[in-house]
Amino acid sequence: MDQRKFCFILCTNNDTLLSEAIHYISQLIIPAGYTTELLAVTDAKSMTSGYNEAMAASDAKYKIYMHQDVFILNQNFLSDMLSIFQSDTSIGLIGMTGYESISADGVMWHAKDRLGTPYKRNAAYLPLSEYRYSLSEDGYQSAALVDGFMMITSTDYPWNTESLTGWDFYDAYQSLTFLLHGHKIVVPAQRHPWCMHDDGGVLNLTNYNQYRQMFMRTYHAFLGKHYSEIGNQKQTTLP
Amino acid sequence: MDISTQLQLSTDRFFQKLDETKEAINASWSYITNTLDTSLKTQDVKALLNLIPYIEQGEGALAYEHIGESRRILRILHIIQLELTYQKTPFFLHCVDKDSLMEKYMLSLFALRRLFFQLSMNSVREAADLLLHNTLSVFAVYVMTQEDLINADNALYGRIAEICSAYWNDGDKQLFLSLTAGN
Repeated sequence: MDQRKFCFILCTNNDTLLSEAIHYISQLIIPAGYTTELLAVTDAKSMTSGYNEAMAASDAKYKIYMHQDVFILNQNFLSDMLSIFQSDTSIGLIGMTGYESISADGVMWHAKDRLGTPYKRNAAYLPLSEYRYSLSEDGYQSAALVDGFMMITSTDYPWNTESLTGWDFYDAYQSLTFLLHGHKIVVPAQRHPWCMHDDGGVLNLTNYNQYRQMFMRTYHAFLGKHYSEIGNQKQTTLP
Repeated sequence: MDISTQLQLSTDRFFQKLDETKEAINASWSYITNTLDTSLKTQDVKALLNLIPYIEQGEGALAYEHIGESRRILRILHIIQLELTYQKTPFFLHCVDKDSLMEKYMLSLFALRRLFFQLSMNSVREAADLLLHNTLSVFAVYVMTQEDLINADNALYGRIAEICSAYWNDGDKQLFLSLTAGN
């Protein structure tokens, strides 16, 4: 494993979006002594199979799993992320948006305690040119789940390809995998969003419910629970 | 009944309804994409613009509610309607199907965003080149900056005006100024 390497991993079916996502990645400042690589999976059968394929192909310690419609705005993204991982070695997963609790109905965004700063229209942010994240002043907050549009890991755990054969719920399952292995999940406080997720404003939920039902059956014990009630259960409840 | 149970029941109802309307959603989305493909291929403006009432008041509302891309399509149709009303070059020029129309829209939006964020000289230069060589009407720029995911400000409007003044006439420039004043 290369301890000083970042790998960007994207499953893609749209060259226009991919090329714009790569443009923003190319604008990032790479911390001294570190290298980056990018793996774009073009014919994935599912999000989990695409991510597993890329995960196995990369020796980078830090993997940035992101959607093709995510544009990273914070040019110090890599060093800021590194500062968070290095501040506490038990942090295994960083997200840009997350939730402290798991909603009772399994729908991630129905939890009331959202963390992070999604890029929105008509929102007043600090100008990007003036923005600089500070670990000591801004900090981060712990989460139970993070949104899959951006998931950054410092250790590899296989994505659940057996149960997750589509494009939904891989984020919730993977978040719980990290928590149940004893890792912390955190979301940095962002005075300016670190990235823009351009999902068109509407989520396609037509296949979502089958995975929600499965998630609710598998993780029934954690529904409605705060992250602090989950992390200490370790691997005993891993499916 | 406790709040958790209420939430679960309400979510179950939502997904049950979604399951029941799934076929209708897919049908309305297919109608929109097929109409775009055929009307752009034959440059049938009437059929193209008939999609506006279909999406706003007809069965296309289902696609609008559940499929993100349909919102951008409606936005593009509004741009085209304005352009045709004011006898400007329509946005769909050189677009032969839905995919090429969407690509033109997305590349234009990406250029506007790059101008806004100004991450590097190179990024801004590429954006300016794109806007210079793929002409956009005042209406296209205005609708994108007002309705899409970009927090446009006066500095951005100034940069756009500077680039597009290469092909906008005095009336266009005046219109852009009046539309963006006070934003």
